[in-house]
Order: sequence, then C-alpha cells, then structure tokens
Amino acid sequence: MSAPFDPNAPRPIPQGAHDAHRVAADPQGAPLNGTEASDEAMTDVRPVGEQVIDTSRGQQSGFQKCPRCGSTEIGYSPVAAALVCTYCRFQWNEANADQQFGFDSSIGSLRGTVHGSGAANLVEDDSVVTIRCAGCGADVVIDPQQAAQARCHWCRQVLSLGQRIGNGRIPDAILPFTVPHEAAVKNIREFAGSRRAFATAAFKEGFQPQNILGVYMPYMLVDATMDVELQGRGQEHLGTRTVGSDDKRRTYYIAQEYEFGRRFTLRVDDLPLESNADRAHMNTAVNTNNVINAVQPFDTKNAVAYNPNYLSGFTSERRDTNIADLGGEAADGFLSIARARASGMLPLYDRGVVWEREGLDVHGSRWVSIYLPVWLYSHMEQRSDGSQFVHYIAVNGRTGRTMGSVPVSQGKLIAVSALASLGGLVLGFLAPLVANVF
Amino acid sequence: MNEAISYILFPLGGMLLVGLTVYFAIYQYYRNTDKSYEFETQTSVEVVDVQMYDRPTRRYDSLRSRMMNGHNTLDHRQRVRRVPLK
Repeated sequence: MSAPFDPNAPRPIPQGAHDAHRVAADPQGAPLNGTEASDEAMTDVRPVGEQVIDTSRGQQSGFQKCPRCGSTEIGYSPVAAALVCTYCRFQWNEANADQQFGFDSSIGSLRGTVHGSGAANLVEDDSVVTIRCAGCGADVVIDPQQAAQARCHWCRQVLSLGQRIGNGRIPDAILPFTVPHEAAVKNIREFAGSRRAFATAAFKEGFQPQNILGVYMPYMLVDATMDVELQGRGQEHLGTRTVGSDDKRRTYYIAQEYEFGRRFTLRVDDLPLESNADRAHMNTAVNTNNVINAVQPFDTKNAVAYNPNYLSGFTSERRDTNIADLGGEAADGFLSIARARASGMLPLYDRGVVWEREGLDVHGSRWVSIYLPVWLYSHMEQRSDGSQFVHYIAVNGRTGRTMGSVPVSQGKLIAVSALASLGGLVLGFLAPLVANVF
Repeated sequence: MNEAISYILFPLGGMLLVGLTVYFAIYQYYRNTDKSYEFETQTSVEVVDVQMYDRPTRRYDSLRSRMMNGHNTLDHRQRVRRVPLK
C-alpha cells in the first residue's frame, strides 16, 4: 500500500490513518512550523483507498515477442527511434503512455494520490526469479537486482521479467533515446573543446568521448491540483526627494508599503522529480549532479509504455525512493512554481516585494514512474587533498542539450587572473584622474 | 592624505575586482555550478481563480535605495514561513 501524498508531513502516514475523519488526530500530519494542526488538517481531505493505474498490461515474466515473427531477439535503435527485431527487421514502438493509461486526464479533477503501478512502494526483496521458458520448458533464473532479461541456455530465446517486480527497476513509462551515440559524442567533444585552456591535464589526456554511457535515469512525474496562498509586503515607488546642496546633496526615495496576498488554484503538469537518492542529492561542493538536472526538459508527453527491450544497449539507474519520501521535494517544487507565477501578479510593486508566508493545500496528485534518457560522460578528478570528485558531461537523449563540468587547473587560472588583475591596477590608477576631469 | 588613498586604494580595489571577476567567470564557464533546470518557469501549469488583496500600510520618506530592503521578489526557490490555508 502506498501512503497518500501529504506535502506537510515530514514522514509517511502509517497504514490505517487514511480515513479522512481521523486526519486531525495524526501527529505525523502536523505541519513543520508549529501552526494549528487541526486547522491545517481539516482542509487536507484524503479519500480512502489507493488509486493505482496498472501499467503492467498483464504481462507475466516470459517472452517479449516481435509482433510480426515472434522472435525474442529484439533491440532498440535510436536512429530508427524504434524497437527493432534483429531477426526479421520489423520496427515498432509501444503505445504512447499518456494515451494508453490515461496519464493526461484532467488534472483539476484529481483527488487524493493516484499513481502508476510502477510507482508503488518499493518491495525489498533480493530473491531471484525463476521463469519457465515457454519455448523449451527449462527453468531460467534471473536476479532482478542485476538484470531484467536473460537468455534461456537451451533454446537461446530471451526471457524478460514481468512488470510486477517491485524493486524499482520497472517504471510505468519510458522515453527512449532519439539522440544516437555519434551525435552525443559530437556534442560532448564540442562542449569540452571550448573548455581546453584551463582544463586539468588529466582531463585532457584522459578525454575519450566515445566512452559515454547511455543511461536511463529514474524520475517521478507529478501532476497535481492545489490551492496556494502567498503573502508578503511590497513597496510602490512614489518619487524621490533631494536634500542639501552641491557636493553634500543626498537623494532619498519615497515609497508606499502594502501588505498583500495572492491566492489561486494551481494545476501542475508533469513536474519531474529525481527518484534515485544519489542523483537527487545535488550539492555542487561534492558532486556534479546538477549538470544532469540542467539538460532538462524532456518531452515527457511522448513517453511510451515500458518494454525491457528499450534498455537494450543502454544501462539504467534504479529508483530507490517512494512517493511518500518525495512529498517535501514536490511541495517545494509546487511552491517555487507558485512564487514564479505570482511574481507576475505584482504590477504595483516596482520597488519589489518581500515574500513572507506561503502555504499550499494539495487536493489531488498523480505520480508516474518514468525512465528518462541521458548520455553521460564522466571523469574522475584526483584532487590535491587526495579526494576524488566526479565530473559529468551530460547530453539529453531526446534533445541533445548538453551541460557539464570540466575540472579546472587552479594554478593556471589563478595565474591568469593575477595577470588580468594587473589590468585592474592600471584602471585603478586612472580612475581618480578621470574622475577629477569631470 | 586623500591623494594617498586614491593612489593606493583604487588600484588595489581595481586589481581585486578585475582579478576576482576573471577568476569566477572562467571558473563558472568550466564548472557550471549554477546550472539547473528552471522548472519553476518551464513546467506547464494552469492558474485559475486568482484572488488578491492589497492593503496599504505605511509610507516611507527617507529610503536610501531604489529597491525594497531585503526583497526576494524573484527568489522563487527560497522558502519562507509555511502557513496553513484557511
């Protein structure tokens, strides 16, 4: 059972507390700022029961066959942007996920937490799965922690795990690569090419862009409908006044201050949240995950239903986060979006505003677990203090947008900056002379 | 005395300004630590039923700067005090 999405709860709601009438009594539902729990909880209506959209399409573990010839030898070609049967060369794609599963149905009418079956809570289970090969009857063992497919030793056909494995490796939908390997290499070469002067020697010597990895990153796409209220103070510029004379002159500004509030219903469509904890942790002092985040957006509307053969030739990272764990991130995202929208509702406050209070009340949300394609080049920098720091250059596997981090040779950069600062020395000498002329 | 300050402080300040600007500009070009997806403006959203209130409070006559003190108008990702909705 998945816990409902509650942006104010620091921890997931325990089972049995889903009853709307009992919400006020739940201490874990208390908002973080010590305001009246009962006030807040009364507006947070959660329906009983779990709303799950089954994206497994009834697929059991077994054969994923070519629709034309029945072969299990299926690969994926980014150039063709399609699954390809390596036996008969037939090309096809799975159905569009939004259309097949109704992920794009009206956001405004969402109530409670709806999620795809691939976004269900993770099941900790390291047991292996035994599949009976439908071709020859042999028992084939697959360790879901390691792979989603395996070849039957006897008849050589490929067996795939069914969609019900709950270890985070099977999403509701996938956005396949359309940027081929060569194009990604070219983008990375260009990106690094304009950053050669101050790059570390180790980076330049070890630069092998053909060694990029195509990785499917796990995300949760969230749709939500909510009420938001933002409050603060703003100032309107009225004019200026000057006191004093000649070189003792001072200018003062005159302003009218207001207390204001903006409240509206916000419907968010497809907000992506990183659902692998290591990737979600973005701290530029210790990692370069921000670079992967920066190559967004992805055209998530084109995502298709999941088929393990899309992974052929690529690797994937595992989702290790549940919906309940992402409540805080989702709420922060919604509030940031609300603030961005509200900043366009302040025509009067040309001196700016101080946002002071914000709150939201999510009526309904829909969560879809998805794999998004990223080409990743990585370089491990050996730092002078002995530590290691991984630099990524990422290419969006759909749009080709490239962003990355190149390690900087500090010595060279400091030297050049010092040289440039001599120019500042000269300017500094000239400044008072120039000022005196005027 | 003032001349001494101009001949020492300005050049020193100039050096620091140019040196640090060059350093940070190049560093950012390489490391891109400030880059992230602008989801707050790029995500597709619908805003309906807007309600507003604006209440004048007080007037200020002697403000030193053109912009409001401590304004966070466009700091969308900065969180402020969470309050429940009524």
